[in-house]
Amino acid sequence: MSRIGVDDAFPQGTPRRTPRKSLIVVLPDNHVVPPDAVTDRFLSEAESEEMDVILACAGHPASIAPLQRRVRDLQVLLAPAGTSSEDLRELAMLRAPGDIVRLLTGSPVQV
Amino acid sequence: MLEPLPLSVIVSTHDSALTLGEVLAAIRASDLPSHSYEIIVVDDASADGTVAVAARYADTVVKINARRSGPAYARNRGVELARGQAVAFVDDDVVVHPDTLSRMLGMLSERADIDAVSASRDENSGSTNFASRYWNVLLRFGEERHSGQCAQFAPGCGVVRREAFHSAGAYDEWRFSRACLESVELGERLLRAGRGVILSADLKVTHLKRWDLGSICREVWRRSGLFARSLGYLRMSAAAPSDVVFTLSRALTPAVALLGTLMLAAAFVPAPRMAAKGALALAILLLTNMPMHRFYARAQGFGFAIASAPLHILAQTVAAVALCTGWILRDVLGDVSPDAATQAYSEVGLEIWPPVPRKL
Repeated sequence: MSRIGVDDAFPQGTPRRTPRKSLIVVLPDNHVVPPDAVTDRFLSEAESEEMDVILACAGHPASIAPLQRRVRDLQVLLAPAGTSSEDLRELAMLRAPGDIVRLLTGSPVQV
Repeated sequence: MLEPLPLSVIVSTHDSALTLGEVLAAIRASDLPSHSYEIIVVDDASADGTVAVAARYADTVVKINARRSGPAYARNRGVELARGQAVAFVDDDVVVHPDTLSRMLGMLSERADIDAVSASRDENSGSTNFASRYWNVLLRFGEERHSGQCAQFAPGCGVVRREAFHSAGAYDEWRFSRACLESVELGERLLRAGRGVILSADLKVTHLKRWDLGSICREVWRRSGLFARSLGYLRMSAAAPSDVVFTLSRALTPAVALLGTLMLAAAFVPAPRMAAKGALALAILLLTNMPMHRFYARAQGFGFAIASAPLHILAQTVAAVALCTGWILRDVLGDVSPDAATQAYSEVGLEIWPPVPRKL
């Protein structure tokens, strides 16, 4: 029977009572996300105040000001134009500190 | 609040960066409407970039960074976050066919008497080496013989109503800290609770895992030992007759009976030759395994059936020894339990993330 010590059980230092949560919003070229969609995600999580939000965009996003107003401490990750949705997700995940990471992709811009 | 969905697909994974992309892409390529399901990947302490692969396809990624706790624990964490009225569990080396998940979901919505449905493996093995093909055909033999009537909740790909899953008590994360039989045990509990559990031979998935002689022997050893020591051989053989352990051990009983009878008769023959005795024993084993060898021949050809006979006898021997060892360990040590630290934390009732495994 294998035995473990306290250090093995809590390898990352101080243990947390609840999981840290992150939300990644992915915006490939010509995609937008309504701020309400992000807020809905916030409200659906019990401890939204502890949620990190990362916005991963390809190229220059059309307008992120409304989102920045709604989400305090929004982190923006800018990737070159043409970066695929999958690549944006992967890049953002590497920066997401949460134990539980939700991913939300924007919708194509309606022409 | 977010709306509930018809289905949450939960993939528990550990160090599967090589296969996970194909697995998740296949789920995304399913003929389910994209707004009708979510994918939750629970990463069980991987160290190979699995999380980055998961992020490319998943709606939610759960990172369990402490120590590896097994698929039962990981799947339970996934269900805690699920929005689906039904939850599908897909292994990180299992590729679903485009219609697998939609048909499973359709069965649950059409038949109120079914609460859990599992898919069986198709004729293709993801790896083409001999051992992988043998293992795939061996498991298919059990699944095809006992599909429909069987209560087995298959680990590869199974869908269960979330309400039934919770009422059965979820996966037994206390006892199954490693990947082995946790789904079979859950299926048996669902059955005991009066739930409908079926294994469908029509619903197919492809298993990608590459097997070799060592991994086959280790898997047979673990499964057989756990059946004898912890789950109860007779109880489980009635509930999940298609499991590979019962496929292997079922032929042993008539083989032992026949051998015993012939050995008794041989006592009256003066000085029989060793070679004759060995050939006779081998012939008896081949005879009692004949239905399986016929199935192998149909599935993979006559040459494969002949070539697989020694491997089959080896697997049966491992199963027999592991079953005996399991029975002895059950009497000496009792049921399997987690390590001392986990038991201590559970006793204290510590509230931490990731949570301490819970007892049923």
